[in-house]
Amino acid sequence: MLENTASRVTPLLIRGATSVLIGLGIVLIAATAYLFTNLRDRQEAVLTSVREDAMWAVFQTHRETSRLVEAILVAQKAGTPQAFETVFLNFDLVFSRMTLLDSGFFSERFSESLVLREAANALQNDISAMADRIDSFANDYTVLVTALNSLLQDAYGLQKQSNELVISTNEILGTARTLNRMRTSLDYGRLATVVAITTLVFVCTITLQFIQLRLIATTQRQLEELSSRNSQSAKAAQSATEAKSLFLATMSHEIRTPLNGIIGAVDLLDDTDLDAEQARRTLTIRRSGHILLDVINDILDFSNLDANGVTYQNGPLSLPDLSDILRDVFRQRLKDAGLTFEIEGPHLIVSTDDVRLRQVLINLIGNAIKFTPFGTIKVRVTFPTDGTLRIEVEDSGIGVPKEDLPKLFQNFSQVENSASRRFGGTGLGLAISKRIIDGLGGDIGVDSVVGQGSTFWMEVPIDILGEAPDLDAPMPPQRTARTQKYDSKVLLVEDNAINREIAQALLESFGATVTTANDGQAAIDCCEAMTFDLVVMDLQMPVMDGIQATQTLRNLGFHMPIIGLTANAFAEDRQRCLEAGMDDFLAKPISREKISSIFETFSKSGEMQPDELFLDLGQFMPVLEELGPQLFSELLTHLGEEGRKLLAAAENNENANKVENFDAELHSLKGAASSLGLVRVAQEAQKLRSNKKFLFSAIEELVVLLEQSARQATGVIASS
Amino acid sequence: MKQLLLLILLMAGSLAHADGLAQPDGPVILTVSGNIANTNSPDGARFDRAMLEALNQRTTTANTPWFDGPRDFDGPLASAILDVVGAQGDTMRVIALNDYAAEVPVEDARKFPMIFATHLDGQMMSVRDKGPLFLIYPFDEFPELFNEIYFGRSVWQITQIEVLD
Repeated sequence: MLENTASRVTPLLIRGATSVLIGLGIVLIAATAYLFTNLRDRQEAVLTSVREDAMWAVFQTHRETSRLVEAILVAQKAGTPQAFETVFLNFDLVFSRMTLLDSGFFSERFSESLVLREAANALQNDISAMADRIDSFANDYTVLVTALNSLLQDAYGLQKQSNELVISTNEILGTARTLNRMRTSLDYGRLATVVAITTLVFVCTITLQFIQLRLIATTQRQLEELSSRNSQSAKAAQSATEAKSLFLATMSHEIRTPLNGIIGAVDLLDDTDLDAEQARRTLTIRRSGHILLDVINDILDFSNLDANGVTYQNGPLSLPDLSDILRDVFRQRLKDAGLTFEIEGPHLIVSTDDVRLRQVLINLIGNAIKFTPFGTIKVRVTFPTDGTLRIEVEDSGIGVPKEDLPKLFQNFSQVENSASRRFGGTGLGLAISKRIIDGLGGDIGVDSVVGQGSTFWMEVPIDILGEAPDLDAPMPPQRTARTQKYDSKVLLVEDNAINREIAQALLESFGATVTTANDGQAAIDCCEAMTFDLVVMDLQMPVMDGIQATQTLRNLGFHMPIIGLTANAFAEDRQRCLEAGMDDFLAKPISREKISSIFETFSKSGEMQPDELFLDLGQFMPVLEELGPQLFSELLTHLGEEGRKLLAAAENNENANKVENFDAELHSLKGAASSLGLVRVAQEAQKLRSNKKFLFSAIEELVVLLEQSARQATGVIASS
Repeated sequence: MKQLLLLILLMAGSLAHADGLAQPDGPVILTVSGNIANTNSPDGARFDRAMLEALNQRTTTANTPWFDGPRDFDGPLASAILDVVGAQGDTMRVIALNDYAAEVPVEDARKFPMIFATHLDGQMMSVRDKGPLFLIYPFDEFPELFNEIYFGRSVWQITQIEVLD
């Protein structure tokens, strides 16, 4: 908690500090600019230096006056023209100083001080006056000699005045120097201030950077911890979901298996002679079974949607057919609930995922029935646009409160908690429906008024394929399929004893000869020993599952149709079956209709060619005519004995698993059968010879076939 | 014999003339001494005003610390004087009438067209006007020269130059 507060406050602090830093930076820039301006002012330092030169100039002037005094004293003593020249020269030098004090930079400096100016002016005036006098003696040394004394007094005056000028200048310059020093000191002070601010800003920057780095490091550590915690909880959630999915799959499988038994057994019961009361009860059993199956499908669907999303398979959907199916599905429930049912829509065939669409509709109508105490359920199919199919399911039920509408399509949601007790159900139906419709690229929604009813609607994109066939066209009678017989040899591979029994019974009811196996390995053994027209194979089995068994069979070169059988009725499973080499796929529960469709597709009808199955009449008839019925019958009997001898030998022989031991017998049997036109026996015998593995059951079967063929042949002989 | 002596004297005279350094006719205003090749007296090379004006001249118009505003300075190039005396040293000591002296690198004379000004604004400079010679650097063309080092070397009232090794 404390740490949290700190981590919240620190960014604020940093933000504040950053503002301060920016402020300081601006101050620093301003100060630097000011300092530089100041320093630029000091470019007049040259002038200051010139001012120093002024002191030199003034001092030099004083020195020249002293030298003039000296020259005059020498001239007074010596009196030579050379000495006089020196006097003139020295005066000229003094004079040259006078103009200097009045011009150039010097004058500017002197003008600063009134005292200095006055002293300079006085000196200048005296020099000028002396110049006038000394010039008048220039060419007359005799006059000069007499005037030397007064010139000396003038020179002393100049010396005194220039000395005063030196003192004044020194004083002025002293003041200027002090001022300058103060200014310089002030500049240094400012410079020091700017440096101090710079240092402060640097220190602040570094501190801020440090704090920021610390903060980033802390944040990163927290993020890492958070992400590791997240990944742990994600892992936990993942494994929980996996466990849930596995549980649901296992449970649904475990529930479906006995359910298949119930539904299959009811189907079988329907075949027996039932009175009206019994027929009604079997119907109830079957429907209850289907309702239970729906619930399981809901759960399985949902967990599957969760894990894999939805896969869609578009196909033609006849709207009139859909109406019939819905009426049929709900007839009993509507009757029980005392509701009337109306369904109306155009006679069209559209392209959509008919299975998913029907799933959603069954859900919506089921809900409507559940929540409507009395009145009518209306289903309206319309086309708001050419490419959109809209289906409305309107009820006159209890309705849904407005505030509960958004919850409707959520997972495991029921409007009132008590609803589960009152109405039952998983609460998953609408959630699944919404996901399916979303997946189809459509919309699903509800309009409802409490106490008046609800209208659930869905809109999905479709293509209109054409007109549906006339409703009055006669439907193919269902019973014809049941009466159809198929003389097929079927291998049924199923581990569950009850299911195996029911499936066997259903298959045999179509006239098929059924061999059963408990698992994939047993199925492979059977196929190697015998020939089957059809294999019906469960997918989930111990020892070897159906997928693996199918792959093995295909690799061994078996080409008979293999039909998968599973409780998991999804497209992915279907795909898995086809990839393994299966020809088709049957969703449990197995029903008469499903078996019928499989036989129609994959098997030859038993009524079509029973004779040609055993005899080659092209061979049989000429031989019969040649030998006569008597001899032919004897030969047949003899052949039968050969078969039984072979069987007995195989039974007693310890090496019965070696096909070579019987090759001679099989060969002669084949030859004899072939000569008599018993073509199937000949074929099977030859097949047995080429088999690597030898099974007693195969010999047995061959003998059975031989007897059947002989019976058939006897029949033909009798009729001819 | 006398004729021969005269001839020798004439030859010596022509030899002296061959040095390129004539004898000054007017008052001597500049004496160059020290490490020089050409002389015209025991003191060294002596120049009157005419001799100096015969050398390569230049006019420098510049602001100086000693006068108000820009002024015209005329006079022989320092390099011309050094050439004519055959100066061989690195430094020249420039000495003023009042014994002020400054040491000026000969290099300056080679690098800059500095002059020994004889005229200010076309007027001959007397001693009272800081004449007869005023060493003027070309402050106008080379602003970097405008500082105390060159001000100090700008000697006025020059009367003597010693070329030092």
